[in-house]
Order: sequence, then C-alpha cells, then structure tokens
Amino acid sequence: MSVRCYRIFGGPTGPGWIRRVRIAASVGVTLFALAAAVEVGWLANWYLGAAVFLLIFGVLPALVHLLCSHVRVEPERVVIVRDFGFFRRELEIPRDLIEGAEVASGRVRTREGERKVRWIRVYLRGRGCLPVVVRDAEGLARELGGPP
Amino acid sequence: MGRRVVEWPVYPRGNPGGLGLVLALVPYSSFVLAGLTLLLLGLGELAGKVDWEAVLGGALWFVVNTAALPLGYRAVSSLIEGVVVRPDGLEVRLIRRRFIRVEEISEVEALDGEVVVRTRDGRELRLGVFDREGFVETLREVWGLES
Repeated sequence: MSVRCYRIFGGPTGPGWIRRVRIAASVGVTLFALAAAVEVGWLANWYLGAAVFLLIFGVLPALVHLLCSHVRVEPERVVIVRDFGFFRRELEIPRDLIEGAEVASGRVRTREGERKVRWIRVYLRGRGCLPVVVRDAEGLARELGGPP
Repeated sequence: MGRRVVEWPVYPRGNPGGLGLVLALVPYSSFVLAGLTLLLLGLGELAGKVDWEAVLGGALWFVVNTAALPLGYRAVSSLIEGVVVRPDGLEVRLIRRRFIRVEEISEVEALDGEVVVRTRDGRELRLGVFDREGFVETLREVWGLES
C-alpha cells in the first residue's frame, strides 16, 4: 500500500511532491529575500536591506503551511502534519484505532461572517470521532474505509 | 515540535484551518518588529544620523519579542489541540492544561457555536469546539451517556 498525502489547502499528492515543494519554497523565499536585501542595501543602506530581508523571509512559515500541511495515510498510521517551516506539529492516529470516516459539513463563524466548511469525522473504535479538515474530504474518507 | 499519538479524540477550539494560519504567522510578528526597527534606523541613516540608542533599544526589543515567541506558539497550538475527551473527564488546554473530571460535570449543552459544560460547583465552561455534533456524540460514546 502506497503512502498518500491529502493536503489541507490543496489536492492529494505523494510525499515526494510535498518534500520537493517544501525545499523549493524554502530556498526560493530565502534567495528572493537575500536578492531584495542586497539590492536595497546597495541602493540605500544596509539597515533597510536587512529590514527587507526580514519582512520577506518572515512569510516562509505561512507559505510552507499553505503548501505542505497534509494528512499522510500510511499502512500503519494516519499522521496529521502541520508544517510551519521552522517548526512542525504532528498528530499520529494508529491505524488499528480507526474504524472508519465520513464527510461532514457545517457553518463556522469567521470575521467575514459564516462560511461553509467540510471536514471528515474519523471514527475511533469505541472512542467517538475526531474532526480532520482536508480539501479532498471524500477521497480521504474513502481511503479510511468510509462510514463505520 | 514533536509528534503526539492520539489516544482519545482531540478537538480544536475553532476552525483548524484559520488557527493554522494564525500559528504560521506567529513568528512573523518577531520578524516584522525587527524589520520595522531596522527600517527606522535605515531611514535615520538616509537622513544623515544614526541613533545608537535606538539600535540598542531595537536589538533589545527583538530579543524580548523572540523570547516571547514560544509562549505565543504554545497559546495558538493549544487551541488547535484544545480539548481531549478522555474516559475519566475533559482535558482542556489553553497554554496550561486543565482537567475536569466526569464526576464534577453536571450538564453538557450544545448551543449555537459553542458547547457549555457546567460543573456541580456552579462553574460554567464555554468551549467553542470545532464540530459540535461530533463532540457531543463523542461525549456520549466515551462516557456512555444516554442523552
């Protein structure tokens, strides 16, 4: 059984794609920030250059989170990975604890008003359920065995 | 920042997507503050003078702010894994852990947008958990409640 990754803010991919994108985003943002800092530092002064570097480089955690946070389905476990570039948070659900999963939807309050959100309920054996938000909710629910 | 193994259902307090974005922007506050300090210094140099007291103040401000980052990170990440339903009670995390035993709980009510947990000593805890229906269903299953 292959490992499949369901991204939180995008479609499903393999783990290799996520690794490559993570490296590309980290290197790309760092190089862009350095180039902008050198340019501004050269033209104006190095305080402004350093400020530009920090302000651009600081978006890296948000970018990595948007591109690379995912739910990884492995044969032995399901891991919810929240990747922030500088740090990472993982929640592991052992596969033998999972009874099934189903898609649920509802409205959540945001600053802009109410928004419709879809998520999946992962049913744990004799332990109720646990909500997981991914873009391809149907695909993940199907892969976890559908409704119990 | 490590891996945790799920033993009992974990519920975020609020939309996990939005909370994740907030968590991703936590380190940015430090970068922005340091960047703004350097920006002011840079503009000062363009105007022909550098205030070295401002340099020291800016560096100090950056150190204090960076040192406070773990606390900010902990506060937001505790919202993502905010409530754990255990067979002996509810584990509520908001920076520090708080445990409410099942025997202490007198009533759980699902309202619009939040779940209210009332304890026998008259206290009331309002939890804005994500997936309220699932949360109440989980309480029923884990605690063996009838309704």
